[in-house]
Amino acid sequence: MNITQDTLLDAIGALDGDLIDGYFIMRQRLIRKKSARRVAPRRIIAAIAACLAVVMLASYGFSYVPTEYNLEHLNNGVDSNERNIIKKNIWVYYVNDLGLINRERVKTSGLTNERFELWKYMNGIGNDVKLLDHVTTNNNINVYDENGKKIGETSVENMEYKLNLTVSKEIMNYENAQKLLRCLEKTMSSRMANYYEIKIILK
Amino acid sequence: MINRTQPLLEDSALIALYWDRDESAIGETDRKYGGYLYSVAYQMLHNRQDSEECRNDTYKEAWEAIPPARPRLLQSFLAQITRGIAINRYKERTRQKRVPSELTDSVEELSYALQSDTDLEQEIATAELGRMINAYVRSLSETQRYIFVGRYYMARPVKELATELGMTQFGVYKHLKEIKKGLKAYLEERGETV
Repeated sequence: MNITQDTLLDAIGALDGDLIDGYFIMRQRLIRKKSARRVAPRRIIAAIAACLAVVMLASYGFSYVPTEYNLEHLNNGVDSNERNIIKKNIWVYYVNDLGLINRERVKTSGLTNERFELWKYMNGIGNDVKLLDHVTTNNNINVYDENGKKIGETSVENMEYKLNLTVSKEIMNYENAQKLLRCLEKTMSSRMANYYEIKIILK
Repeated sequence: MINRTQPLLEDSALIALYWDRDESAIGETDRKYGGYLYSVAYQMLHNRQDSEECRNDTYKEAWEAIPPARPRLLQSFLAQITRGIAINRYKERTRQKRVPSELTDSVEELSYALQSDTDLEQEIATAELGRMINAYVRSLSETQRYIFVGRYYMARPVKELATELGMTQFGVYKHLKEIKKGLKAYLEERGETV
């Protein structure tokens, strides 16, 4: 059997039209299939993004899972502005063994009561010292009462919040009382609180 | 002037333009299939100018062929014309020197595979060989038929076929080996009865 290349080229060139059409039909099908396959990575990326979004939303949601403390306050109508600072990293200031002011980052609610309790815990202050009252004012208008309930309107133009804290005078019985009060002031004004002025009243 | 922002015409609409003897048919064909036809010719000739001429000659032949022809698949119809033109040009050029193209590779590999010692010096007529190849290709599976036409008719690189079929190049070469072996056996068997 002797087949020259020219003969072969001509013989293959004589393939029936329907065979060539079949090739093109299959080619179109394969190209469509390939395009569909190309979409797949995009879908995977979209799925991953969706999963991440779900995880992030879930974790964000968990930060609002009410604790016994929060539940009580949320039910009392804590304003959304206060709720926005729930579960943030804040600095809690304390007086260390050397009598120096130190600080530690704590992830917690930004609510005043919670800050106060943390300040007490970090400084080893007993239950004789209580937060008797705390009022947030904006331009001398009361915004939140002692329960964190909104009682006044905030001013968008002037965001100068002032915090009046009324603390048991028993704090003065503690060693380094002035430093402790300074720690309380700093704890209350640390990140996310943005108080223009903090006034501590002993009663 | 062809507006390139216009959507491409459906094959049926393109064929209708040919039948209406509307000269915009050529421009529209070029817009839709120009690149593809160029690549068909280029794979056989590996020469830019020749490939462009083949493409232009394809439009001329298509214009003359339609009507009376009414192709079922215009792309296939045009590719067959391009191939015919490119093969003629290829033959002209190979008389002077070997053309380093995909067509050369494919035809060489096939003719080499078909060389046999069993029926020495028996020359098979092109028409008869064409008839036998046709029958053989019909007996192949759909994938193997695709590989045969893609490789030996359209002179496409193995890599491209492998990508399209979603298999490795080795997989395509394995199919090609089977195809060549099968064709050789088929021709030898039928050759005795010719």
